[in-house]
Amino acid sequence: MSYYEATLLEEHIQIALDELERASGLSIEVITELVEYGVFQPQGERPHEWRFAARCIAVGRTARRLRADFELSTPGVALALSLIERIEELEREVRALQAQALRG
Amino acid sequence: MKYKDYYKTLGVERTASEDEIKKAYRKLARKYHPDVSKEKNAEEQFKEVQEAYEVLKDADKRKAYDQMGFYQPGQDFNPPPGWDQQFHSGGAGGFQDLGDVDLFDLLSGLGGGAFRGARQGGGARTFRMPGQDYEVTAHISVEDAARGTELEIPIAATEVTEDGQLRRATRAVKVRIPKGVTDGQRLRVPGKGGSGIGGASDGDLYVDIQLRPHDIFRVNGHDLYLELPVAPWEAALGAEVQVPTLDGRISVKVPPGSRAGQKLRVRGKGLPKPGGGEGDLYTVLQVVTPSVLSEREKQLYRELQAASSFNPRGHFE
Repeated sequence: MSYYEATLLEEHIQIALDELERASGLSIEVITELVEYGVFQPQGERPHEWRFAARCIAVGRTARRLRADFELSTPGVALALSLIERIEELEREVRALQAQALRG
Repeated sequence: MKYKDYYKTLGVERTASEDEIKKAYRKLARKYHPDVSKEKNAEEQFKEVQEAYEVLKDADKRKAYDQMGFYQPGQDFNPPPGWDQQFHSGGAGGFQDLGDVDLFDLLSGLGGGAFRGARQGGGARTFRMPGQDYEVTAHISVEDAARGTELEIPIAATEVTEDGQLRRATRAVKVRIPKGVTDGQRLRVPGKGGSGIGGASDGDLYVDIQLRPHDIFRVNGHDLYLELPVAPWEAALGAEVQVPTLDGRISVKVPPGSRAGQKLRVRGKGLPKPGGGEGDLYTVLQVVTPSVLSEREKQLYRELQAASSFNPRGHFE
């Protein structure tokens, strides 16, 4: 049996709208709203030209879970996502400081 | 089949109204949702809560569940005779073996013989359901993150056999992790989640990377940090010292007059980055003194003390 390639969900890999729809489980309508709220910032002008960073799949899956599990509206999801992102940034900073600190 | 007490999971009475069930779920979802919770085992706890809610919020599933009878959580049981004909429209034969079937998987398949004939697709009763996405955490070493690695990931799931029976099976998915991953990153293996039913697409497998703590290096993104112990005279006079990296030892120049906590950057000796390039290695100087001094060393320190005007606590004055 051969090995399957795992793709990193990072900035440098780009995906189209239909791929984001399929992988995140969000509808095109909700994805479009999240673009309007600035949660997703695709390259390209029109939806068929949009190219999203693969990282958006992970964000989109979180959005889908928050919508379904808390019955949140799209503005509520956008707000929760921005707070989660801030927490993740702070956690990264804490990890960075811990890495730099001497063990003593 | 093992019994699960969904009422107990949600902390409600068996007579609870739909509204009470919803309120209990909302409270627990807020507490355990893995996207917002820092509770221990939040993910496992939330799955149980979600599973209980999925069944109890649906009148048909709740009725089917209630009519299975009441048992102790974890107790082996089989639904009473006639249960499958009533709820599963299973037709002849009923269930052959429910020994290792998950209760929730069984209840999820309710509603018109969902599983039977599903594999063929396009039958008289077409039932399509995309495969479930699976998420696993892979603990890998810093060296494996730098070089890339191959993993065999065991996945336990209930699957639908060709003849529509449910079966609990564990399979291993072989996954190649590319070099350049780091702590907290997520990878996707398309089509390697649960199988779709009735011709629907298969789910995806998501792999969350967690790096195991390393004996020497600490990881921050793609940068590595290394504590570099130096003797007081090396810090004062400067020195060229050997330090380990992920691909062998290198020489690092400690400049004269270095202080503890000072960072020296070695460009490009961190973890490789997925888009190209590498992180850096930071050596953090730690000035260490010998715990046991010989008479000669003590003598030299005394001479230094007498000769030096250095006052490390000058800023207190």
